[in-house]
Amino acid sequence: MSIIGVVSMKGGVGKTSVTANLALAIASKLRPGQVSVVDLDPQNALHWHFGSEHSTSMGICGQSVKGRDWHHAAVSNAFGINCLPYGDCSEAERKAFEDLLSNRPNWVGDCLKNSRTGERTITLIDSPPGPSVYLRQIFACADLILVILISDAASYATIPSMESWINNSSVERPPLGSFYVLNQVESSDRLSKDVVELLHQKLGEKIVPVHIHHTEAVGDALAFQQPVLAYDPQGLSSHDFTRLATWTVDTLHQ
Amino acid sequence: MIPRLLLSLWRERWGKPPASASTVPYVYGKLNQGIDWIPHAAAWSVPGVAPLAILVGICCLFLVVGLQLKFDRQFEFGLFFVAIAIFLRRYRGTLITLILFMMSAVASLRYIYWRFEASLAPDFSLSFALRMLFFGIELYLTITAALGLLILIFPIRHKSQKLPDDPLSWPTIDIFLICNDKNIQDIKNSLIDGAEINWPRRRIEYYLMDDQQRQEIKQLAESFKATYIESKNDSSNNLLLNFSPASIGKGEFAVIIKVGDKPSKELFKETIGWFNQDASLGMLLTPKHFLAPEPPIEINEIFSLSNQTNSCVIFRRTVLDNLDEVDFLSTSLHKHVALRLQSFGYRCSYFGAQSLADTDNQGLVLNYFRVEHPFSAKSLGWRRLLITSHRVFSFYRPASQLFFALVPLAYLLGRVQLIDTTLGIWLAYVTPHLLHFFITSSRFRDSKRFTIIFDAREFILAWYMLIPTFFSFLKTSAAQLGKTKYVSVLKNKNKQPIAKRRDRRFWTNRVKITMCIVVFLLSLISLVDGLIKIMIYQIPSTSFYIFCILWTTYNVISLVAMVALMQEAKKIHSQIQNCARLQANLRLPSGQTIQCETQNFPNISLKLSFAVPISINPGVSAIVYLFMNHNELSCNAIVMQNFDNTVVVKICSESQLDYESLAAKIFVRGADWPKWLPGYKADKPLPEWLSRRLMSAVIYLLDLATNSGKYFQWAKLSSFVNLWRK
Repeated sequence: MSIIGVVSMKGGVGKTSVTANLALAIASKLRPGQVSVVDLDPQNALHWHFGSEHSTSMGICGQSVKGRDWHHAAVSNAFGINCLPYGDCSEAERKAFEDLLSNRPNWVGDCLKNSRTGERTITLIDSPPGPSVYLRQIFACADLILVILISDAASYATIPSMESWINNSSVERPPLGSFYVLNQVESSDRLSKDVVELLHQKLGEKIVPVHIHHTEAVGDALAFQQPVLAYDPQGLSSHDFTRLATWTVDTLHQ
Repeated sequence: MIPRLLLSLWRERWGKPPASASTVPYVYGKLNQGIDWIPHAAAWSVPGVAPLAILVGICCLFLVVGLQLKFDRQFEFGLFFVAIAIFLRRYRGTLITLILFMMSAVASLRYIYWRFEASLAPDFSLSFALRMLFFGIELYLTITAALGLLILIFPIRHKSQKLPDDPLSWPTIDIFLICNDKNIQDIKNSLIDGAEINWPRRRIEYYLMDDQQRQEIKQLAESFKATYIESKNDSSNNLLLNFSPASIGKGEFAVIIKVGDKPSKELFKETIGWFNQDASLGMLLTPKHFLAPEPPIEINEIFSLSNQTNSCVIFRRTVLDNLDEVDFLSTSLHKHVALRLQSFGYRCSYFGAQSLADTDNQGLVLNYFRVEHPFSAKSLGWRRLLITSHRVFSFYRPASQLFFALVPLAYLLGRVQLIDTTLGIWLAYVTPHLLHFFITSSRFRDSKRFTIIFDAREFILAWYMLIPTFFSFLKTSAAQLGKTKYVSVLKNKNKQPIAKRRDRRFWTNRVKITMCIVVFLLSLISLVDGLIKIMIYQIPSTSFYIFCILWTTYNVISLVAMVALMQEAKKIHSQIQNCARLQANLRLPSGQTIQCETQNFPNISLKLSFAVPISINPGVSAIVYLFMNHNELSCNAIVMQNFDNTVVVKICSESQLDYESLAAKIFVRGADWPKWLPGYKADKPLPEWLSRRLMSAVIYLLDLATNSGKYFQWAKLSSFVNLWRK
């Protein structure tokens, strides 16, 4: 089983969109049921991308607090992705869940092992922005970390804090390393192009060579509660996510 | 020569800098002055002198060719004439070239005559038949080589003709600058460069031809006192010349230059004189110009030495005025403008410039020369015949060269000696024949004076590169059997349709490679057999046997190089075919993006094919995203045409630099090419673990050699260590 953590120091960079769309792009290369997504973000927005409105009352938060196995939290959808939402939970439940994660550094990893997902599966974990117990859990269990950035000055400014968090953190580093993914790249915008160039110079091989372009299709797809690959399969974003999936699978197989 | 080609490919492949072109200029000295009077001597006008000279020359030729010498004398004779040829080669001039050619011809004729007279040993046996066959092949190759040399001599370069001293009497020139798709800064730079041309400013008139009706270009034209001409905006094709210079301007000459092509300062001073000298000269242009057919390979070789990279065409105005029928607006007729001019009795010539050392100013000067268009006059018909004959003769050359590789094998394996003579006398005759040919042909073909030295050096270097290239070939061949996972990607990418597999080139290459491999295996067997026999039996080192072993060793190396080169060429060919189809995306102004595939990358007018029929209005601005592996490039483009599921877009000028750089990275195979080639990992000559181990072993040995004390400390052999260091 391979685990991919999708993280960021800054909010609003499109972690959840990338997680959902990348999951579907990877799933299109594998057999049905081989890709799972886990929402570790209390915003509980990941399942919206798969059109799952119902059965979200008891997500992984509630299941964990009650000491039940995570596979009970799985939500079915039309895209063949095994989705584990965070769940609508009370403040007390969230606090209890976070305490649990603080006390058990590899709780997420253990739960995923016990969640009957099988050997040849890929799990993507969405996370809330910035340092948190969730981020620590992801670093403890993920094989590969994808740090999402957007091509603007604010994202560029968060790189030192991300790097210092990775370097100073006591948690074990992912075996395949952490890579930066550029999201919402606007090729026609001069500033965006310059920032991309600058990021390439600064990060070198740590930046994923495939960029996700800024298109309206991603936002439109969410409005229709679909991944962009289903909403606009011929579009640029679908093409980008397919290429990113190829890169991810290649990296996992290294 | 194979090693040189292979070496240049190797340099490109592994990102090595290109070999420095150390051009040595030919000298003009007393020898030239002494010889130059010969064609102009008054004696030639005396009746009977010329036929007499020819008769004497023919008699001398027969005498020299028929002179049979023993080993010592022949050796000295050959050495003497080779030394003379090397001395003569320092001097420039066509007469020197002709002398060198004659010396080479005499050496070849002497060898052929001697072979016929003294080394065939006629009898009724299979050996004699084989000897005759070998002799026939030698004769055939000699004739082919001689024809090749003749062809290179005959497109004689014309020197520049002087203009009158008074610049005011020089003709007026209209310069048409093609500004299509160029930005204002480029056009401005071209106008500034034009001001540096060494020609009276009042006798030059500029015309800016623009097909986009740009106001800023109009203002620029006014500020430079140039005329702005709005050329026809025909978006349906990629016209470079969509106006008729015949109807614009009054200058005595019309020059068409594209913005970005920088003419040299002396361009007109050096070239206009030819028009004054030759009234029938109608058009003068750089080779590979879109207004004339491609010159033959032999002429291209002459221009490959020149420094002329820009394209330019000069018309005589009277030609244009008389030739209203020439339709400049039609794309299909562009390449035939030169031929149409000829049909009206005008000649066309190619011109180029070669940089030479200026001994007076210690710098470089451009030496302009003109080469007649081989199709431009009827009198050149027999030269065309010569070129055609050479091509016909060259057809079987690879097969005959392969037969040469079998000659030593015949002796080593079957004891059939194809030259019935002693080794010494054969070498004494054949060496001058080959050396003279090298000296003469390298004078035409190469910018370096002493190409034999460069060839020898590069041949030695080729040994070094043969190992990785050959391993690469073996590994790629083995991987094509489907044993390596990443090569399957490459295999699929390189998969050619069945129709293409039936292509003649495909089978020709396959036959060539198979034959080379068969001869290589035979050579290897006979080499091993020969070496074993040398170790067991005592064979004198001067014997034909040893010579054949050396010859076979050379053949083994050459054949490996040849196969590696053919494989490399095949790979480049298939790569070009594959890369014409890139994954792409078209983004419309509405924000909609559609996946597609390019059909003709790297053409500026890019054809995109879509999975479904699509409707886009021509003239719409769009962004084209091109993808190659994990890399991408976005270019601004304008939609030109749309039919069914195909859209033709034109890459905008601001994106053309990036677009061309992407094409260069893919096709030129420069330092960055491995990053762009699909499945490039397959080309690694050795597995990474093995190269790492080898590198570690080398470092260990170096360390042992330099810090031996560290390793021998335990044995307390300090005296030995000191000795080792010394």
